[in-house]
Amino acid sequence: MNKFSKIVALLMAVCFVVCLASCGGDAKVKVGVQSGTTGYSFMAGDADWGFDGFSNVEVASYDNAGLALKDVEAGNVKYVVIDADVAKSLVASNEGFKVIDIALTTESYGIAVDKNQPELLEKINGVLADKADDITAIIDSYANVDDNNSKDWAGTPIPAGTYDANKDQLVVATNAAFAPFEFVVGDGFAGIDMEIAKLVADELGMELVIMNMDFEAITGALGKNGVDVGIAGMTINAARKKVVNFTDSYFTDAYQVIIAKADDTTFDSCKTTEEVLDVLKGLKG
Amino acid sequence: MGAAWEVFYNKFIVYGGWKTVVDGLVVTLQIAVIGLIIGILIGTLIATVKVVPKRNPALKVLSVICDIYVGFFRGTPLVVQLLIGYFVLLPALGLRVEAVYAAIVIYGMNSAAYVSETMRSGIQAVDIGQMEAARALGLNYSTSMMKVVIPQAVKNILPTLGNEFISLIKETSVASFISVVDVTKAFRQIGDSNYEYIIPYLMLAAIYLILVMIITLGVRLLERRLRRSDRRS
Repeated sequence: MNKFSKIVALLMAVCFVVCLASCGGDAKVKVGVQSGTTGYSFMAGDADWGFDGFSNVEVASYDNAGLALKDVEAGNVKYVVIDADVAKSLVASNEGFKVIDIALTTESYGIAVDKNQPELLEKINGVLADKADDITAIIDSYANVDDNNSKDWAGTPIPAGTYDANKDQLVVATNAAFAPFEFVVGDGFAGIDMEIAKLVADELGMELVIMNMDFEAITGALGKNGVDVGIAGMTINAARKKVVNFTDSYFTDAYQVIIAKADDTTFDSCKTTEEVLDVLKGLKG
Repeated sequence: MGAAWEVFYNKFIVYGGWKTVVDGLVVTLQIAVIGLIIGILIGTLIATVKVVPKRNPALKVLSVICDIYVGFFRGTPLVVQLLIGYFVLLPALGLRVEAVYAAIVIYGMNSAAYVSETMRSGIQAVDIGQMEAARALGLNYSTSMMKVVIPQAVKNILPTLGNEFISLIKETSVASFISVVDVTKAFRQIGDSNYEYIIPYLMLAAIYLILVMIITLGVRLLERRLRRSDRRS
């Protein structure tokens, strides 16, 4: 038995050393992001996406930005980096936060279409061009930040629909935790993207089916299990273009911003993107 | 497959994705190993409370509390426990805890519920005559327990404890719900960055499989060593 107590003791020693080793190291600023978003790649750095990342930042990724914000409130994370309109919507529905409204990136959203359906891409591009005014009207209708969040929204939600392989359906993958672009209302969905999806489906004479999934799963889901398109505030970029086709952009005013606690003064003096990035790079944990 | 392999090679080797994977593996092992140690510590306490004769009301109350504890942790999914613990309970208590440490504690507490039941049944499976004989020889209750019953119970418990460790390792794959980057999350990030999932996911499965095989082997060796004094074999 003696030999075994030695082995057990050794094992315990090893795991405590591992534990201690992980406690040490230089302190980094923790920034929360949503998994698979441009914000994640921007903060963590990704050569395919063309982002260098920040050596002084530790990235914590969450299923959605709301959970990340919850962790800022709890004090585990210092900032959240997320798409600007989503940030404004989040701050409108959660007290004690502010948006540092200086663009860290410039992006535009498009609808991702299964690569094996080039004719669908053409059709959707056609709708986007023909109905440009309707789309502008949809975007404008969600412009008021006070009522673009899921809490106070009072419109009629769009039903999710039921997938049926035998019907002519437009199956849309989305991540409905991204107000004002998509969010859950009762048992249906609402938001800019969802209304555009409805518009496109109506114009093409197809039945709309909405599938709510993790954001990072959307791009990979296209073309599998009947999913035709992804409409989820998706930034058009080279990495995604390798696996999906993108329509023309329907929303060109997208960019990443920082959400901070309302009493955080770190970025108060910043006026330009460069200044924000400089401050961000100089932060210590 | 060739193209998929090239994409993965780029992510994993050229851009240094392997570092995240190694860190994630350390986190996975940390959660499982320390979680199991916490589980065994708390589980032993609970099993003790459940097994000792309830002579006074304090012990009865304690026993009911243990029942509720075990009921909650066995009756709710681990993901739910993680979400409640990290996003509800800790903020409500005003505590700041790194997600990894929160995960370790929650996995430990979850594991304790299962370990306690394993231990209780292991102890109760030892023939009652063993305890009676020890008491008849003049040993007191705790000495009989420690020297006679528990050593025999350990043999019953060990394979199940090995299973608990295995399921703990596999369950760590949901730790990313509270932003922990474990080995699963590390591979998911590699897959998500270029939407090429075949190799990351297969490799992930292989890693879990290897880990579990190592543990199985370890438990088997340990069992063989403990059986050496058995006349039966």
